[in-house]
Amino acid sequence: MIGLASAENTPRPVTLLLILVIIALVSLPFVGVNPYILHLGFLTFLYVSLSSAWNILGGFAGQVSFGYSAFFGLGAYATGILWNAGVNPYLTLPVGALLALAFSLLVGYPCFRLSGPYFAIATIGIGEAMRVIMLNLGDITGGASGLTMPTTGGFSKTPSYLSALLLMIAVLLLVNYIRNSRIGLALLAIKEDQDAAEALGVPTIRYKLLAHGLGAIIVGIAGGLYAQYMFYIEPNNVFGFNLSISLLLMPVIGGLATLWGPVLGAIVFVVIQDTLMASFPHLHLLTYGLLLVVIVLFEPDGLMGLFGRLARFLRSRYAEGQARAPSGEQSL
Amino acid sequence: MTDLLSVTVSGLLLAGLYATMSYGLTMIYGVMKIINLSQAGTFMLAAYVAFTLFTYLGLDPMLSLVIIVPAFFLFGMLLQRLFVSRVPLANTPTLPSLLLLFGIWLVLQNLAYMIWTGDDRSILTSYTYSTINFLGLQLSFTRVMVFLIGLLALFALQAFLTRTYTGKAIRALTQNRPACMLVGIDVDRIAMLAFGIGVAFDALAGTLMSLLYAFTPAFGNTFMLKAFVIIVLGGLQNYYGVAIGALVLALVESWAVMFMPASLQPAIAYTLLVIVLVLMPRGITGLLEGRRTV
Amino acid sequence: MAVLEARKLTKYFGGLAAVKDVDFQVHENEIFGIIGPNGAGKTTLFNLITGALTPSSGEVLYRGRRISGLRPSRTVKMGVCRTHQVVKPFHKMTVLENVLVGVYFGLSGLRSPARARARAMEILEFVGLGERADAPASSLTIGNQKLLEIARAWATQPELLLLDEVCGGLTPTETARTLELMRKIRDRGVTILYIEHNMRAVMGVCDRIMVLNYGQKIAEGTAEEVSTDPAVIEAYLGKTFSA
Repeated sequence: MIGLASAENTPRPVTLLLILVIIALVSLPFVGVNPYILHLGFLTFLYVSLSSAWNILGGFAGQVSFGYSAFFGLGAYATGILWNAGVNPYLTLPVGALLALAFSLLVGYPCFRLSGPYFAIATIGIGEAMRVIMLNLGDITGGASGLTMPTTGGFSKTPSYLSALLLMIAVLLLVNYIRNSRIGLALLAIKEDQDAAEALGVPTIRYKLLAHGLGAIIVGIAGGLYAQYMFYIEPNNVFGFNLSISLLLMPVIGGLATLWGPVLGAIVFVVIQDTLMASFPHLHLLTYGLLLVVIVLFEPDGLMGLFGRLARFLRSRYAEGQARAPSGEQSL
Repeated sequence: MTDLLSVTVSGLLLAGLYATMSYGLTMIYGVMKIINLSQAGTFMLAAYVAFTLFTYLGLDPMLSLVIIVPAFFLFGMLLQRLFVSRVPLANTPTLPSLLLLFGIWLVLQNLAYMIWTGDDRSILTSYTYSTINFLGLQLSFTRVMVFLIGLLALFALQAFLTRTYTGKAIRALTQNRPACMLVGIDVDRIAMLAFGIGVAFDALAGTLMSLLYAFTPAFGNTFMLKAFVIIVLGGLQNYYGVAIGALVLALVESWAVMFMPASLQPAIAYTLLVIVLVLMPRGITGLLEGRRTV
Repeated sequence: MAVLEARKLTKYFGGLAAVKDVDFQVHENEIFGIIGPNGAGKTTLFNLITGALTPSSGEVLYRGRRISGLRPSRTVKMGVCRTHQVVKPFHKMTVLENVLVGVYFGLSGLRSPARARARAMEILEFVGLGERADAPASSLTIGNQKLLEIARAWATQPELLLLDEVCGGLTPTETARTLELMRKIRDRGVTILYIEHNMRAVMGVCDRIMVLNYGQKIAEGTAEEVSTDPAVIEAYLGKTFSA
């Protein structure tokens, strides 16, 4: 059911197609495409990475967190501050990742001993506490007026686009590995029944920390890329509750604990945001709220589940048609 | 000394509001074991309804409670019947229930943006700036009234829970759901009523907040988080615990202002939340009862 | 040395002793049964042995080492695995994947997916669920779910298997099948501690049996010895029959 027991992996033609898509995406900036497309591409790659990162702990292991903006903010500020101090912006990315990782362990170690809803609630508190504290550390973060990067570095859209693409590919490969390994099995077991998983030898706390840590590293790097791209960050934004919410919405809507669900969710998110944001600033979140309600009530497996259902329906219709074909005269 | 006294008294007054805004969360948690993440939406919506009634009909928010509370009671029951009753319940909040209520909150919040825009609103009554003299302290008339209304609501709730059949059923359901089904309590009906009452309490709190604070559609968020802190402090489904939790949070917040910048004040609740969750997941009352094994 | 030993094991809830001064030893490669009427303290005792509860006094030693207070995943790595009275299959996984969890994270902790799958399949064939390998665990009958519970636990390659009421609620045929499986597992060199309410099941499979009543040990011996013990008859049937 999760593809672990069956020997089949991604079929060859699909792999080939994916490689072609990647080549096309990489070459896009070099064929003189509209900068706006590159902008959308950057956002999509970034959101796919974020969405997939949340999916590791939230989707596979079923541990809902409302606090991932803390990782994003840490990554963004690590880049922002070090870049301003003269460090090469690319070298700041690992720093942000490590900072986010350290924070995830610091938070996760006590919180993962809590069961059920407590972890989710604790993450709301942690995320918001970080935002308020960062707002108050004006000397370091620039407070509410934010932090501006040195624009002299000459970051055009292309490098950011390519970095985000690279990050996304790495993340998808990682998730694909997790999905097909014992790590994925352990996380799914934790989601279904933590006590049973523990009784069968799964060190549940360690695996939750691992999933949290991997997510934090990805989100931390994404935060750094965001800072490089935007040249400007402020706590209410990069540590904001809204960001944490978006991170959770994308994989839930796309389909939890799958490889492509979070990708789909992120693409839908960017598209909805891009078409609605400008003219109706609040309609996209409203849409997302409605989608969430509908998905919880009717299709818990998200868009991926919906597509699966559609595929099965079409296949059964096709099979029905095949079966009926010989006796076609009667149906007249 | 007067400083400490006045800070403490204002902390006590705040505790009244804090308790009022936490009872709904406790009741819904107790009966259904779900965390009502749409609570912030109710706070905000009630504030806007009070604002609208005040601006267009000139109705004082304290009077409009007579309309708002029953209306939100119905609204809550509708929410429960249409949405919440469709997700499976368990002994702890499930992922679907969290996401569902969170989705409802998003919808409410963004509907409000479309109806009332994102501008700051506030309600200025004739008595907004009046004060009353109490033991030599100048107290805001509004804050005292909010405290008194909150206190009144608490007594009403207490009477309801101990004297009426529905109230008793709610308490029974909080303690042991299977047993209630065995003795023939209509669990679905009680759940609907409890959700309605919970939302009505949230609306009461939201209306009272509209007298004290400026609000936007994003309003309510911080208060909901504080309500979490309070009910976790109180042991999640213990009404006395909630009162104690509200008092603790309100006093800590009020006193803290004497030692640290006011802008850091919001972080207190969140920090307290994490400390409490990690160190005493069964709340203050849990500590008082001592370690009891399941 | 005994595989498992309890020394003066005692657990109080409030002022009430659920388990009091219980001593027993489980020897290498035997099936040791613990029975008792409802409320005798069986579940409490089981939780004390698995470390889910901490004893008020006394201790549990596995090969001379204390195991109370350790996380279950740690005890699995020491060779002790338990089942749950209320079965806890991973519903959304297949039967094979359920067993794979035990194979991957058990004592030896296989890492190669191909070898792990082969091993899991072997276990499923062994317990008689081979044909259901790719079915979702939730589609199994309760009898098969209990078998799966044992299969998963056995997949961790335990030296000591703690079974909690694995025959509760089963039909006589299913019970016979489960008992047969227990014997087969024992023949592979595993020591089994078996707690059960179903007296007939325990009598049929256990080498030695301990009888618990009101939290205290009232008898210990072979099935025959225990079933003729007046104290045991009295505990199960009341005083009038014991004459």
